Amino acid sequence: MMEDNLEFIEEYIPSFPEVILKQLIFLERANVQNQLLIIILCIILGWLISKGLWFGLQKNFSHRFTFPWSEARNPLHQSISSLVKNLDFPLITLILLELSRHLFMVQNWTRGLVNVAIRLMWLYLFYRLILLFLYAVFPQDKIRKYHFLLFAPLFIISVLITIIQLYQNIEKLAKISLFNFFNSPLTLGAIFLLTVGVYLWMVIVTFLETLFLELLRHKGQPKTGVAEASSVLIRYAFITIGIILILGYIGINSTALAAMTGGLSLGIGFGLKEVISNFVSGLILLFEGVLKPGDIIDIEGQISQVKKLGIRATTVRIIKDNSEKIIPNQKFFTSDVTTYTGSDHLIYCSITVGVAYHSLPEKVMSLLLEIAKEHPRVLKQPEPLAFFLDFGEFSLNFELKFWLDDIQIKKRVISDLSCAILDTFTQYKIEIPFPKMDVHLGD
Amino acid sequence: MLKIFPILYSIIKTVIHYLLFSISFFSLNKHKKKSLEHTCLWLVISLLLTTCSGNYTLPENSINLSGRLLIWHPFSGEMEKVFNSAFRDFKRLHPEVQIVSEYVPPNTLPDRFIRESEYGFGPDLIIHLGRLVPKLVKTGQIQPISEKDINLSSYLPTTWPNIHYQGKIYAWPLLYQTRLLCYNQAKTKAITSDPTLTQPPTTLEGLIQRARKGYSVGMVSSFEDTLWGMGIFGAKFFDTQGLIEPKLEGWTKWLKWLKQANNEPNFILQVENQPNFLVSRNRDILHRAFAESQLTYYVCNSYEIADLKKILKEDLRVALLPTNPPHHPTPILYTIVMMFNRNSSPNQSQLAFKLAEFITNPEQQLKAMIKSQTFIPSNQTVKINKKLLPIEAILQKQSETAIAIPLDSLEPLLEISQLGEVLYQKAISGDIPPEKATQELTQFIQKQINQNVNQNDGR
Repeated sequence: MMEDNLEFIEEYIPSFPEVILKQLIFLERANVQNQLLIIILCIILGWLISKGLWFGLQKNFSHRFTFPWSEARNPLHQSISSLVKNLDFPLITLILLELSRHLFMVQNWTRGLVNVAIRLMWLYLFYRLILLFLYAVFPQDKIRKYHFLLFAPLFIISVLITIIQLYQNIEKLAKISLFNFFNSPLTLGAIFLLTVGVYLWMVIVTFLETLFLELLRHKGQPKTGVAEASSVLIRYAFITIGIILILGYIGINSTALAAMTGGLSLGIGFGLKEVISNFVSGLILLFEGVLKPGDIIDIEGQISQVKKLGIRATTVRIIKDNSEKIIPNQKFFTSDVTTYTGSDHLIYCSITVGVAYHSLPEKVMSLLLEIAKEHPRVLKQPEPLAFFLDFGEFSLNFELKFWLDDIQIKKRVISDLSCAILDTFTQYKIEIPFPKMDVHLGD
Repeated sequence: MLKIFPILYSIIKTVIHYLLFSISFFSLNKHKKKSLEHTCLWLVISLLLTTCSGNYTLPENSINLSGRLLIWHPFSGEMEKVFNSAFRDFKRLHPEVQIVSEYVPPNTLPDRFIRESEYGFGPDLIIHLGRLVPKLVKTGQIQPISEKDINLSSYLPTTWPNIHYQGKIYAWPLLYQTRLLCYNQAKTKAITSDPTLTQPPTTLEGLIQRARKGYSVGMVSSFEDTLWGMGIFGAKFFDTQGLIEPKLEGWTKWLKWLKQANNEPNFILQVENQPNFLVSRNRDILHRAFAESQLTYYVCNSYEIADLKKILKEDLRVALLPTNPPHHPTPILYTIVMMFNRNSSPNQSQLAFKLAEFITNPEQQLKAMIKSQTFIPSNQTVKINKKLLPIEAILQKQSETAIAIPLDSLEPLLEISQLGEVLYQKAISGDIPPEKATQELTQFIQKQINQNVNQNDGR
């Protein structure tokens, strides 16, 4: 029978001092105090009980309830112990909070905050469960990194949003315009998306890339350079798409953005010439697939293994001294690079040896082939070959040629084979002559 | 405050129980047991002290009030300034009081209040239409007002059912709104200089007569917007006790009169019959038409006056709705009320009551009325000088014959209103005769009354 005869305008957003004053107003109320008190007590009690429980379990079943984080994989009993250690606090607190809610319900007391606390505790439990699962399945060092970079911030943001929503409509709060950016009003929501949103998106994409590579490894497929290079490309593509989508969602004026970036690009082109050159070189390297992580190359006279292909620089490990070197991508296009693993990983090696003139060449060659075939790292196919090279000044010269599939073991295999040749020849009394010189003196 | 003791008792009991359990189970040494007990005891005591440190001094009898208040209101623009000025006056009187006054859109205010109250938050004082009371009482979010806190004799007795619900007072009347006749004085003089026609009509016949002479009349065509005319023909919904007792024969006559008026060339009731004019069921369009001087007479709502005054200035005049003696028009009296949060502390509640008392005192009401020119003061002791404040005087006079919807009858009336709207539109468009519309509505109401009686007997 009545009508809404009151004018409609946008919702009022309180100032910061008003927000503080409002909190003081709410805290003055017995209904709010009761709820906060019971929530704090439940959390403290939950924490104390969980600590007591863990302490007791460790004391009574110390062999089962140890929790070494340093291990890459936990055996079953350690998984159970980590379950208890990580889930007992939220579970016990949840039980206490549920009991409190029941008490408040029976007494018909205000209990909205208790309900929110229960909801947040469920969220915390779920968060711990996800972490536990990830720690159990994937390498702990990698998950620990994302624990702090991704999961903890996500959890904190969820908690903060829940708390803000108690007072304010978050959608309307997000629409508050602070200033204009490229002729588009920049709202609180837009700032959040541009900072936290972009950060989270980048971390999530990187995390998914890590998971993908780990899953490949789990399925028995070695981490190939192709997979890694593709994942880098996919990561950058996703990050770019995400940023474009966020900018589109925020509603940045694309014409103004294009005009500004066009103007800036000239300055950036001059100022960051080298960086851009390296960036473009990185993209070409990734797209062409000439270089992959794991490749063995010779650059600047040093044999190195490619560790990581970045968009600006490539990290290589110098095989000689195991040091790591960061080479700007541009370098791969301006200097000669020899790759030992371009089309395949095979390395052709040879050992030359001289024997005394009275030795039998067939015997020497068969012994050399036998030695090569017996070495586990010498490839059977292509098979090793032995050659009678020439009649030397004081020895008959032979060459043993064989194939390896890893350049990093070349030195060691040659050393092994040389030792074996010396032993075998000594055993078969085949002399390796010293250089001799006959000096004839005149009358 | 008394609530906290049983909670604390159960908490301490639980703490001791769980601690003893865990201590015996995990065989802690004596020192650890002791320190654990001390920790718990310290925590409980410190929390208890924090809880009890709240300001619970009741300022009922003190002159210097202190504390903090949160107020939600649905007023924007000039009305917001009027009320903020009243709050400032209150703060000037009581410097120790801090007030946070927030505008909340009227359509979102009820749900937001219910949601926040569930946490123990929400404003201490909420200003909204009185019709919100049943909803908030059912959800248990507002507290009843003791008769010793409010002096009912200061308020119009006809509006008492508008603040009582289920035998208790839940709302404090702040201001009233109703319908009245707005007219454009410049336009009344533009057509004729006949002094009988340049004056606003006092009877329905006079209104028709003016329409025939070329004065355009605008009226929102809906069941609720035309309810004011039912009283002129003796129709009514309530008995003297405020209970639903329909006597709707007069509605038939009123519908017939409206149909007749609708055939007049300058009477704007329905768009279908007025090819050169605007939709009349939409108040905004008629409001704009009147503000643009396209209409001479317009049955307006009192809350529209401030806006119209800003545009038409001195040309805007108001008059009582036309009538047919001895009966009076019976527009609905909308009561804007103040309600009090159940979660507020005793100090906050008392402060809110004091503030409510302050802003409904005659001086503040008159001040607000002069500033806004859009409402009727709830305090009937406010004396208005007819010569100095002509619009305000008409508003107050119109409110005397207006009918307030009793909150106890609100729910059944909403259903009646829905059917009434359907029947009204059918009758005006000629789909059914007015007699049939009246008969169907009466039968429906009678059926509802019988159902209620049966339900009550069953209990």
